[in-house]
Formats: sequence, C-alpha cells, structure tokens
Amino acid sequence: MPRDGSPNPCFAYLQGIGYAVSYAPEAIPKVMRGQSRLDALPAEGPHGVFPSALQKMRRDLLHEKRCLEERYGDYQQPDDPVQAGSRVGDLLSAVTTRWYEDFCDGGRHLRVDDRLQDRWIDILGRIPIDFESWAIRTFILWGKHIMPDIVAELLDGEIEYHIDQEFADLIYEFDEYHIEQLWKLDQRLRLLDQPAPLPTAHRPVRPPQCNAQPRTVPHHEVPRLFEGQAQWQEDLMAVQWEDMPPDALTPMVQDLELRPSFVIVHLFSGRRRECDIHHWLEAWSRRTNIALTIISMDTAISPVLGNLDCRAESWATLSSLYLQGKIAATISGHPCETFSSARWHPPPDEVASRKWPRPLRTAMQLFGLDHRTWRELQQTRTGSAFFLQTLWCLACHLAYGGLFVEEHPGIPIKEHHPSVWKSALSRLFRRHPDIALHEIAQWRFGATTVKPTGLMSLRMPFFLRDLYLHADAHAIRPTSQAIGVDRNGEFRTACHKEYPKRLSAGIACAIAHQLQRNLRARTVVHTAGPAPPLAQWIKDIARDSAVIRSQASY
Amino acid sequence: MGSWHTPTGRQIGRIKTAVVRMAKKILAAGKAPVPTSAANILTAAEILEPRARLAVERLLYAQRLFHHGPAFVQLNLHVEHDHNPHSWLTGLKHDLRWLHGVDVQADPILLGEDLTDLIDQWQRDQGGWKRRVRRAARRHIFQETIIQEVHRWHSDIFSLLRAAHYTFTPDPALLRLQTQEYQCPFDPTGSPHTPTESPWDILPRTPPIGFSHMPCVPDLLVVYAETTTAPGIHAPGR
Repeated sequence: MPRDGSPNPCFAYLQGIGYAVSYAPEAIPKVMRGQSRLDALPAEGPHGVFPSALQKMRRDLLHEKRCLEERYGDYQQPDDPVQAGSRVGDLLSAVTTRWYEDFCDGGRHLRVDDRLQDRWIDILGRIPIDFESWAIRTFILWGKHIMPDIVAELLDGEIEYHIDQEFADLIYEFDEYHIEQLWKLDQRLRLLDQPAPLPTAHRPVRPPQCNAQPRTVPHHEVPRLFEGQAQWQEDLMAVQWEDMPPDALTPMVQDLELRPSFVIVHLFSGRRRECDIHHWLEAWSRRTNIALTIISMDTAISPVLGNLDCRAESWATLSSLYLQGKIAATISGHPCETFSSARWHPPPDEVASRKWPRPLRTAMQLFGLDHRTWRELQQTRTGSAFFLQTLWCLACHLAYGGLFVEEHPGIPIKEHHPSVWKSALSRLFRRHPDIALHEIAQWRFGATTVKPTGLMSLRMPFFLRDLYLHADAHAIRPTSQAIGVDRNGEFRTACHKEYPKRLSAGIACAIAHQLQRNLRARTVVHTAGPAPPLAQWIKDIARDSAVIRSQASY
Repeated sequence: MGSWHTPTGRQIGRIKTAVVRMAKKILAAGKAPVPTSAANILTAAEILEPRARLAVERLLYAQRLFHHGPAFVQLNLHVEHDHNPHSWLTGLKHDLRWLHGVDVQADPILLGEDLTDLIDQWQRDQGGWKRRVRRAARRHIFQETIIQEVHRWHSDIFSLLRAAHYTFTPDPALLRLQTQEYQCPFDPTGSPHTPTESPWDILPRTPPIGFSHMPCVPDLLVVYAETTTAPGIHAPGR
C-alpha cells in the first residue's frame, strides 16, 4: 500500500490478471527473524487460482518431450542390434582408415570429389531403408565413442580437425541428432520436479544475545576450536554449489619451450624413477610432438625446490603460478600416513614392546584428536596442510582451467575411520558436475596387495577408460594385506608408497589423452609466459626433476 | 587472576579486545605481516585467549590454595558451591574439564564431580602440577593454531572460488553465525538455543538467580591472597 494512501497499482494489476484471492497475512520465516532489513526480503505474494509459471513450463516441456518421442521413438532395428551395430562400426572404422591412407598417398590434398562424408554415406546407404533410422543412430554413437580413438592415432592435428568437422557437418543434417534434446528435456524436467529450496537468511542474523541475559552470566565453557571441529565440519556439509561460471579453458604457456607447452605439476611425486608418471608423460610428449613442461615436486627430488611445506618459498612460487593460471594439469598423491586405516590395527605380538602408531584422526575429528603427543600433533598438522594444499590446487584449476587428479587410499569400510574423502570440503567438490571420485584396486595394475585407491579427477570424462588401458587383464587378486610389519620390522605399507608402473602409465595416459582431446576440441587458451624469475624457477625445477634418482630416499 | 569469578561473556569480550589491540601493536613492530582476525593475532603472539588464560591461572591458584590455604577459605568455597550455581568451584570444574581435553593423557580424576582425589594430589604435589598446566596451555595454543590454519585454508579456497564467480548456498562465510548454538546457562533442560531464538522466549523458563547473598567467597580469596606470606602465593589483580 503506498504511504499516501492511494490505491496500490501492483495489487490492482495482479487482480486484473487473475489473482482473485483475498488478503492473506504471511508470517516471516523463523530463520529470517532478527534481520535488520526485513523490507529487503523477497516477497512470494499470494498464490493465484491459475497454473503457476513453473507448472506452465512443466506442461510445455512434457508436451515437447511427447512430440519428440512420438516422432523418433518408433524405429525398426535388426534382430541382433548389438552385433549388427558392431559390424557397421567396424565398416565405418575401416573406410575412415582407408580414406586417410588414400589421403596420404594422394599427396595430402583434400579433394572435393572424395570427401570422407561420402564414404560414410555410402556405407549407410547400403543398409536397408527400413533400418535407416537405426543406422544413423549407430553412426552417431560410433562417431562419439570409436571415432575419437581412430582420430587420436593419426597424429596429424589438421586432419583430426577435418575429420571432426566432417562428422559434425554430417550428423547435424540428421533428424536423429536432435534426439539429444530429449535428454536435455529430461534434465530440465528433473530440475523442475525438485522441491523449492527453503528460504534462508541472505544477510547475517543479528545474534539476539547482544543486550540480553546470556552475555551477562559467567562464561564457564573454555572455547576450543579443536574441540568444535566436528560441529564445524557438520555445518559445512550443508554448503551446496549455487551458481557456476562458464568452464575455463586449459592453459598453454608460451616461452617455456620452443613451442607453447602444457605445464604439468606432479605434487608429492616421490623420488624420480624409471616408469613413473613423469617418465610416461615425457615419452608421450616425444611420441605425439606436443610440448610438455613437467614439474615433479618432492623433497626426495630437491630438498629446497621440491619442498611443499606451505611456509616454504617453493610453495609460494608454485602457488603464484597457479593463481596466474599457468598450470594445465596437476597430479597429487599427498601423504596418507596420518589418515591411514592401518593405524587402527592393534600391534602384533612381536612388536608389542615397540611404539606403535596410534590413530591421529577420526571421521568426525578429522583434523586431530585430543590426548596426542606434541610430535603426533605436528604430524597431523603437516598432513592436514598437505591435503588442503591439494584441494587449493583443485580450486585453482576450477577457477583458471586445467585438469586435476588426486590419489589417496579409498574410502575406508569402517565408518569411524578417517579419510580425506570424508571431509566436508572434499564432499562439496565432488558435488561439482566436472569432478568425479573413482575407486580402483591397485592389484589390477600390478600391486602385490589389493590396495583400494580413490582417484578424484576434474574435467576428465574418459578417465577410467584411459586408466584401464594399462590394467593387467590377467592379474590375480592377491590375498595379502599391507598392514603390520614384515620380517625385517619394516611397515608393510612402506613398499606401496610408490605407484606400480602400470598405474603410473594409466594416470599419465589419462592426463595426456585428455590434453590431446582438449587440443583437438580447441578448448585450450594460449597464455603469455610467466615473468622471468618464475620462468627460471620452472626451468630449474623441471631440470632437477628430469634426473632419475632411483637410489634417493625420503 | 586465579581468584576471579568467571567473567561474563561481555567481560571476556572486552578483555579480549584490549589484549588483541595490545598484541597487534607488538606484532606490528616486527617484520612479519600482522594477521587480521583476533584469534589469529592471539595465536601469532602465542597468547592464550582470556578465558583459557583464566583457566590456567585458576588451576594454578587452586593447587596453591588447597595446598597452603587456610581451612576456613576451603570450607567456604564448598559452601558457596552448594548454594551458588556460578560459584568459583563451578568455574574451576569447567577449567578442569578443559585441562582434561588438552592434556596429553586422559586423566579421569579431572572429570570427577568429587574433587577429593584431586585435592589430595594437589596437596602431595612437588611442582608437577604447574608444569602440567603450563604444558597444557602451550598445547592449547598449538591445537588452536592447527584448526585456525585449517580454517584459513578453507577460507582461501572459498575466496578463490568466489572470485571466479562460483556461489554457494548457504554462504560458508555466514554459516557459523547462522547455526551457532550456545548453551543457555539458565535452562535446566540444557537444550541449546540458536541465536535466532528470542531471549524473551528463554527467560521465562529460567529460575531466579539467588546468589546475591553469597558475595563473600571471592573477597575472602582475594584477602587471603593479599595478606598471606606463603611461598608461591601472589596477590591477584582485580
């Protein structure tokens, strides 16, 4: 109601368009009481007697979906569609490879009278007309899943782009391509079906005890953040992503190599050895002629330049590179010793007299337990910092583009055992659509124990496929466990600190193939080289980490 | 300071403000950057937060009092505790609970309702209690530093994402304020209240405060501390 008492034009308008309801008082939601500016709260208003905008939108979407289903839902397919589809796929692969060979033999000139599209159409045209729609669908699936592998083997950026373009041009002409809209419609309908979020206060609520009794009575409890960490983590679990900016592109840095290169950082890499991730990435770079600047950081490589302590100068330099958006990919395997479930195992009889590692965390008290020695607290502090540094790198990649892989033992079976995957921040990251946690068993990659391992990846939709290219198909599941001590009194987990060769190859392959896909899809951005001191630092550390140090110790 | 009754939340806040201001000036004289938040300033200066400092002083004072102090003061303390919900001994028991949490070994004696065993231990003490409390104070600062670092990393990560136009609901910066709970000291049910609950909703449930007739014990403690010549007893500030 306007203050001068005149008629309310908004109310009159709403009545005019169908809000034929009487006045209904709305109480302020409980969570919003105590706010100093209630007039700024969004008002929901009375409910009309006609369908709401959401209901209208839902009805339209359902109608659209029904039309599409009627149009494309009914098609004929062969008796054994999988087998037949596989045969069509093989034919398409064969003509594509043949076309490429002809292209090479013909002096690498693209001919107007011999387009790849024509060869594909020739194959599709030979399929009986009754199965036309099925054939086109098979072709689209082939193009999405098989063609990228064929294209990746051609090692010719120009022709890769040409084949992709030919495929995109062709499928856009097909009606079946637009079936994808169905999936999008389903997704929108799912979003509409979700209940509306409860109203939350959008500005700080003034604590009511400002001038009231509770602050005038003795403050008996001694406040301890350390004790309140479980509650704090629980509160943090409620945080959800609300809005996300467009995806950032993968950075490619100039001036570090002769050609623009991808800078790949391997944090906590351990000593440099044959067949580690660095080795496989270097080999891939040489094979594909794509420039990489690989930085493996660990104190076993360089006590100064590889020091990742958050107060060290090398970390400060590295973090400035992250903040400038120069890093294309990060692989991190931060130490798991303070999180290890092996700490919960009772000591074996033969070492009962020895000091045995105690649990330093639980799932709820993830950042430290009470009644621990000074040394144990320091270990916990360092372990937490390394874990959070890794997540900080992930946040940088989210903001500035690039790929990310974090390796850590899998989620423990016991509910109270700690794990980085149980932290509120890690759970929040995993709710991001581009981030996924994969659980694998390292015995498939050559480990002598089962060793369940979690691998969190960012912007790597084909991660598992690329990883399992290097798995041992004939591996037999071992029965031994890496818990306790061996005959020499060494902890059994010690020999599993380094990844098996196959796992290193798998992770390197996943990163490399995704970078190649990004390059082909032109989702990379060329950035200027870093300032000279930073560039020199990168060169120094890349030089240090290029040297194999199989004999180095931690 | 050990003879103090536990200050109110507001008084603790005022003391903290003054201490933080002082610590900030001292830190500013150095080369290292001065932290911005009060908690970080205190840990950077390795100063205990006032309530924890009071706990340390009171625990040390309690040992001296029950070791060397006159019997009538000790008796009066117990009488005060029987009649006053916010007695000096109530505060001491909270301090002991804090010590139990911070101590390197979990000592169940510290959590007992009956202080007899502990007082016996104090009376046999040869300096070990002082070392234990001092060590617990250092451990408390270290533990707080660990969690503050964790908070700082979280804050850095959220700031980074926010700068890149990611938004969250509820906003993590407002999270603690909205869900913060405090234990109402008057509520016999002990149920926590959220700040969104009006204080007038709580007050009718609270029993009347009846300790105005017991003002003597803290004064006795102070008088005792000021007049005694026993070694190790110093006059506490008021």
